[in-house]
Amino acid sequence: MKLVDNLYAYVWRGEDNNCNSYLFAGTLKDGGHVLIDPGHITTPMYRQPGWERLVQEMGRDGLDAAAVGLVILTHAHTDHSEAAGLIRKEYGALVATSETESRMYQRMGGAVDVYLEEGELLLGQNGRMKLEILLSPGHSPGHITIYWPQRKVLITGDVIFYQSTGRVDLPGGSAAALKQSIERLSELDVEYLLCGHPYGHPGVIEGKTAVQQNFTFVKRNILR
Amino acid sequence: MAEDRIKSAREIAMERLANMPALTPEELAEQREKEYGPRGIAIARKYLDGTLRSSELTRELKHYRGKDGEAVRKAFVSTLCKSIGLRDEAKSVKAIDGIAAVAGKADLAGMKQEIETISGEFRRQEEQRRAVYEGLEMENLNDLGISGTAVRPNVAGSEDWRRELASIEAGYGERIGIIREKLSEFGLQQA
Repeated sequence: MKLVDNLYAYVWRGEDNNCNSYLFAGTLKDGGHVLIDPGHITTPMYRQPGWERLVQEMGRDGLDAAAVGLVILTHAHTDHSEAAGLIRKEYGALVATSETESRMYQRMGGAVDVYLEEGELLLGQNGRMKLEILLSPGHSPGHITIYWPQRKVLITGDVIFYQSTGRVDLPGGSAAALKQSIERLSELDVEYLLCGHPYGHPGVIEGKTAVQQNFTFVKRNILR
Repeated sequence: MAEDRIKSAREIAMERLANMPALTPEELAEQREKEYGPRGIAIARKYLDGTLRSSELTRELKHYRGKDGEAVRKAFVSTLCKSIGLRDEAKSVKAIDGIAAVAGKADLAGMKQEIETISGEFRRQEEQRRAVYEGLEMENLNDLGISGTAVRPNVAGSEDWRRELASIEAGYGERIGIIREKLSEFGLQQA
């Protein structure tokens, strides 16, 4: 579904675990798309088609999966990254993530073409779309979040969900780092908080007040 | 009657053994290497990972005498030689120190210096070439419409870079090989 301008949100609606995906359409010079967290190819327990469903939903929005030119992974966990290799192989898309996260991803057999560090990511002709890459460790050591200041959009991966946070017990996780990351992100001016999973809520939180309330809830009840 | 008696499994085995030809010296050496080589490898690995100090190496090797000791020493030195390379200068120097510790009065300072020189030259050349490749990859990304301070291409993933790196390494490989060969002779000396 179209969210704002050329940003589309694809909320996972299956029974099994898979992530939400977000897409900036026609952002690259050749009209290619930038896809964030493509998710599973097939979900782990119930073997539901993840990538296939995403392709269908993109198709309903008139977006061709073959036009994905860049895949950004917020982190390497397979529920966010599994389909990236397939997109790279089938469509020649580049895969980007942080260098720290790429170590885990490459150990899983993935290939990374571009490292993303803290700073500005410029997309399109003359860098017309400006995104900010923020290193946000805690759920995983090299986790990144993506901030679009022009439209006040924050794509958070598994850092924060609706009234919840990402887990910190997986290898490389750190509660202290996650707390710091959330506190830092809560300072941003955000009107669209786009979470990595639809846990108890689609994970697309709209409106400055709703976003701030979510951060406040998490800081007060979980991060103490 | 004796011929009707059923022989025990042990008797059958001993008869077969008696009829077998003796091992050749080469076969004996091979067997000795198989049995004692791993011990030399283990001592080398413990030294390289810091479990053993260089001052303990002679004592460790002296547990093994004669031809068995030679097999251990040879494997020990060979393992240290194999760990000498372009990428980990500290490990290479440590390996040479390990060989020096058991090589009597041999002065291996010159070889350590040579390793440091080769590693330094390799590192500088790799960095220079890597910067060139990164520049080219950044141009490719710019052409696609991807740029910014957050962006750094993963040159290591590029086939072209891998070939370039292999070619740079090959250039220094011969010099490293000569050092390894000279050092391996210490494995053949008497303990």
